[in-house]
Amino acid sequence: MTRQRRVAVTSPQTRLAMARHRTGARMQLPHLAPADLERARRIHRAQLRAALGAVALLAVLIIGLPVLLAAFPGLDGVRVAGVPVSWLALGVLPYPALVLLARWQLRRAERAERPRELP
Amino acid sequence: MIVAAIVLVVLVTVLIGARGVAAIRSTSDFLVASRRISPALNAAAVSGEYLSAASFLGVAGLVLKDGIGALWYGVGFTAGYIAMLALVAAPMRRTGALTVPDFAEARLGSAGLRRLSGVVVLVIATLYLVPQFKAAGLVLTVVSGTPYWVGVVVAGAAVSITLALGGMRAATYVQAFQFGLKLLLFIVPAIWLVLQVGADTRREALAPVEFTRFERPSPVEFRLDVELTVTEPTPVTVSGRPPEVLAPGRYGASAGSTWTFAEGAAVPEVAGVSVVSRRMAIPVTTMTCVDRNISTRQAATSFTIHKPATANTDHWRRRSSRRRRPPDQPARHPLPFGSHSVGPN
Repeated sequence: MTRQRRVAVTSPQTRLAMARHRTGARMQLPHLAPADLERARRIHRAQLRAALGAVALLAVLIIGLPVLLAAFPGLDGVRVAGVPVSWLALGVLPYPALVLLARWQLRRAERAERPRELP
Repeated sequence: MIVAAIVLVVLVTVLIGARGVAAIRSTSDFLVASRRISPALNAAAVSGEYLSAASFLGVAGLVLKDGIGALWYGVGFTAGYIAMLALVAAPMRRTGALTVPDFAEARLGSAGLRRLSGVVVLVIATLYLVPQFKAAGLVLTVVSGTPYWVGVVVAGAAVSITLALGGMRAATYVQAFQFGLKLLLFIVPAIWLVLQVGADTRREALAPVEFTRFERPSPVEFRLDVELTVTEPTPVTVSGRPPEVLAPGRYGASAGSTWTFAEGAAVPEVAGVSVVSRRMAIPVTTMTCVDRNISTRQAATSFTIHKPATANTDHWRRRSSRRRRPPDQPARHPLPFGSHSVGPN
């Protein structure tokens, strides 16, 4: 049976950072071929757009729901199966909405990374 | 019985952690489980963190104290994950960074930021750890009577050994197991309680009544030591003593005493409930400082309202018949108030 070599458990990035600290060199950005760089920029822009869209929708939900509940206090009196609608709007509604939002964001981010169909 | 359950959970935790240890082959295994944890297992592990005493008992307590608006906390916790998903998770994964400080440096190329980020991670982790260990010590003291430090040491040792030997894989397995366990332990009693209390209580819970004044002479039995704040001269009879009028101020009511409030007396505020009025049933809190409402639900946390002499409010009658504690049994959680006697503090 071969003995496994024992290594100090350090993240590779931590090792690099310590080496940079010793030599005083600054962190280098990765070098990419021009075509890859162009593709990376495009994906980055598309994903940033998707992310900001998702965060904007999140803000609409989180700010809009209390505004809606404050604007229509009558919702406290309307009941579905004995439970006030305003309670349901707070205790039940946000969760499926947030799951759908997360799913939408993930789908869009992944679609941006998928390779384009060959012409 | 409870001790056996705790021992069992700790043992299973360590065993599952050991399984993670056996699977370790490389640094990447240790730090990110080689990125081979399935999304479902990872989600269970993250949710295991989220499903804590703070989110379950804490929010339940806040709903009891502040009203239905406290459900916003849960929405906020969940919404945070969406912001993380959109703004942090994907970029961090793409850089190949294994830790947040790694990511900070890789993204912005600043070694100082890396150090700052490391300090922030440590501070947050410490703030998280203190209540966890405190709770471990307290819970073990309550269920088995061991000294406080035993729980802290047991919890600290179990977590440290599993994490130090097993890394992220062990942590993920353990968290996922505990997620399933905690979900079961939270949901089953919750459903059982909802079924057990009966249709009347369920209906009552859906329509909390708010009141600011006693409509008729009302005996109130205190089951815990409670601190009351009286805001206007209040006629009251305490446990068979001659009737008196309390001047505005703070009073301690000892467990087991019965205060009979006169008709039209203002309901005193209970310590710990904010002076700012909170309307129990309204999700968006109305911040009116003038009227000092106290809801029956807030009141029920600390005292029992007996059936009034001329009662036609069955709301009060039901509450008093169910919630009374046998007189020989001491209050389980006496509150730490210095003065248990009646009279201005």
